Amino acid sequence: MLFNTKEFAIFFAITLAIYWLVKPWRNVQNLVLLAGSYYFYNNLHYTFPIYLACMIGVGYVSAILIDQQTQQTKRKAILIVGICLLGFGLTYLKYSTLILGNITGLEQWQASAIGIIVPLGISYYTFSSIGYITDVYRKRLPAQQNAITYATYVSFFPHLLCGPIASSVAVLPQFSKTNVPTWAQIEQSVAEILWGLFKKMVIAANVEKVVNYCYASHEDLNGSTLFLGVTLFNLYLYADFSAYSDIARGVARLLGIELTQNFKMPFFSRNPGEFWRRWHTSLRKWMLDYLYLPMGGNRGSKLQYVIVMLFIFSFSGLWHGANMTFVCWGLLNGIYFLPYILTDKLTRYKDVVAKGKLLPSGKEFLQLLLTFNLITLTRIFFRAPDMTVVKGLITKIFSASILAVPLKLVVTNVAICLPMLAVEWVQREKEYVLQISTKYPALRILGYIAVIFLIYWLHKRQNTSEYYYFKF
Amino acid sequence: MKKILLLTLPFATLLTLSCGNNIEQQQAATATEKALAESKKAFRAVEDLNNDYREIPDEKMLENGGQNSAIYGEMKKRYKAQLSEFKKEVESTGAKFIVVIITPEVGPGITNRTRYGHPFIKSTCTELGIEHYDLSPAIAAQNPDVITQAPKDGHWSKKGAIFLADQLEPIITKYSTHKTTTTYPDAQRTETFGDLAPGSDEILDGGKNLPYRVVANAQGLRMNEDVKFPKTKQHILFMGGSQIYSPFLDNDFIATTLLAKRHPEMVIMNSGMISGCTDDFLSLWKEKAKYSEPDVVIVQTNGTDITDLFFTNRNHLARSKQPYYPSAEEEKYFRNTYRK
Repeated sequence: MLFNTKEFAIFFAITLAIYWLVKPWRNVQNLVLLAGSYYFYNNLHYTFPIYLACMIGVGYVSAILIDQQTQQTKRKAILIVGICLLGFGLTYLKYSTLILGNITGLEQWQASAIGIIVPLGISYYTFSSIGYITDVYRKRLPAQQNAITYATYVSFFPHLLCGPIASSVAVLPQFSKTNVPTWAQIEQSVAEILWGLFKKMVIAANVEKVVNYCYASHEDLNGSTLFLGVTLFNLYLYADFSAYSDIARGVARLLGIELTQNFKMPFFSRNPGEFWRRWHTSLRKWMLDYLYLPMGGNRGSKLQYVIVMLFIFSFSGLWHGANMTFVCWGLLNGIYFLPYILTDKLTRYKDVVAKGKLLPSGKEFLQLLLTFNLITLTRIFFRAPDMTVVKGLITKIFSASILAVPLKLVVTNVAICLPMLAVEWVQREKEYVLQISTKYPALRILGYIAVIFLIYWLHKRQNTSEYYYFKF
Repeated sequence: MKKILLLTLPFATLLTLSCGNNIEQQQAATATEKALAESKKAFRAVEDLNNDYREIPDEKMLENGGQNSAIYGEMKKRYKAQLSEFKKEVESTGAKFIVVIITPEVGPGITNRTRYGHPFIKSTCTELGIEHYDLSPAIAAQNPDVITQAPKDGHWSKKGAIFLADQLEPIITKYSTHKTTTTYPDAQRTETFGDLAPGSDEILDGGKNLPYRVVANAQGLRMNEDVKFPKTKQHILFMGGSQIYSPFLDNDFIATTLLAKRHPEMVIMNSGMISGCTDDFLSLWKEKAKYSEPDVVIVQTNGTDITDLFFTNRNHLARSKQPYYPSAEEEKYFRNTYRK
């Protein structure tokens, strides 16, 4: 059940109505959400809720045991056991092919050989659960005693399949009290859902096949077409993934739950550091809290800092998949950080680019262009199925054929994405893209109707493709 | 008075012309409305039939000795009649009519539709005096992993298209001097000769993650160049289903493009459709393909084209979008098979 389908609209409308009908009883509200989430997840495959229930069980019991224990060593031991148990499922399901497939005699124990399907969203709720028990261990929040509340938090359907990875400190307590959204919050939700639908149904759905074509037919295409193809993938990935996050946030807020803003207009970044503060922020925060800081972060020498950063990015690559392409993708992103780490310029640019101005300065424009193209190059690794394709793409892109005339079809599809970037540029200082600053509500409503009309008019018919990040 | 008359004359002429135009416009509008109403009526009839008769038997028709059944006999009779009509239609223009049997089926796992269909097609062609070529034995001798998109799909791979072009080349060169006797004035010629959206350039993947680029010329044919008139080269028209259309390959790699590159003295036209049978090819020919003035017409067929003539298949898939009502035999077969 995808967010942009009639089935989801009906499911959500029913869930929302029942949820607010039982408003006086928070536990009942959670039961409604839990039942809805399991129905939502079960729709994908009947085995998926079983994994989810196991993860919830391990997370819940581990946190309670950690909380009850006063001795630090025992608390730590329970934490490690909990992380191992939670991590085992993810590691086995996602990486058994890589690990066991290369060990003679153990090949038959790979998840794929046994016939196990990797549950969608497993990475997201595993990370949420690990984050939660670590936070309890760190005493950032008490263990949740109410099993229903905890289960509802982990399995909450808006973020179940594709994040944002919920921070337990920020999100879990919200399931213990009823937050009735204000009219302003409802309007923000609707605006975010609409913009998400526009990005998914108009931009991502229309350009997806052209992206696939460029990667599949790289042997037959010239360098300029391939470069635009990779650029198109960069834009497609943003449109697709951020659409999911926007809709998830909007849907969650209508249920009184505030989720992390996962994307903050990342293409308007002046260096890779800024880009990563704006792209998939919930994963970045998770890495920061549970890997980067425990490993020492930037507190040691420059060399240590570099090693930690390269490790974090390689880990992030492996999180995406057990493939050398992802490791290279992660490492390349890490390498981009090196000049900025060495010159102490990584954390510059915390404010929005060209604040208060219509256009960026020449220098800012070049910085935006450079950052965008650096990120685009990493997408060669991110989307290619193997290193042979990576080599093929790089060889063509960095050849004389980069000056050849590109396929008109690919140019047209890149142009399809430009209005999305233009609107986001104009709105880059706003809290959300469709935040319309006018005191006349009728004007805002007209704006939303215009977006609905555009979605209806321009959306790709008969497109049922999943969100790209489901596979991670 | 004379002056007044002279002054009035241009206005009167304009008025008469505009009235005339209005009448013509009104007549055209009435004809369009009538056609629209008829097509709506046909659409509703097809919809009603599809609601009442959902199932398409395909291979099921030939299960358990079905090759000797009355229903298969009727389908064969229908196929023969269509092939005969097709031959007459094409030959009446002076073009050469050739049938090629092409099926992607390789190895011992061939379907009954191929097993029983191919001998029938060959004997029918012989009986009707149609020049025909059965390419299926040559295809069966190939490695499917090389010539098809296996394991994802059974249509041609790049190498398969080269193999197909090699098989078809002797057939087209055999008639390299043959000329049609029919030409059409521009006013009579249809704008398109094929069913693809004219001038389209898009990426499709058939839901199999095998993206390919389909370019249609201005005349709705799967080729990169437009067909020009008056003719300066010999026109070869390929008609057929997906084996001619060739999904999962870019235009540059399909057999007809390869043949066009090998024979610049010919215009090789591809009107292949993603799903279709002789019924569709014949209707395309009558409606528009004949206006491409082909000198040689090569029609691809195989055993599925016989069972595809069952009325439920036609109502669900035919390009004509006209209702196909069941014959007594079809009604009986349908009731016995699906409504026991």
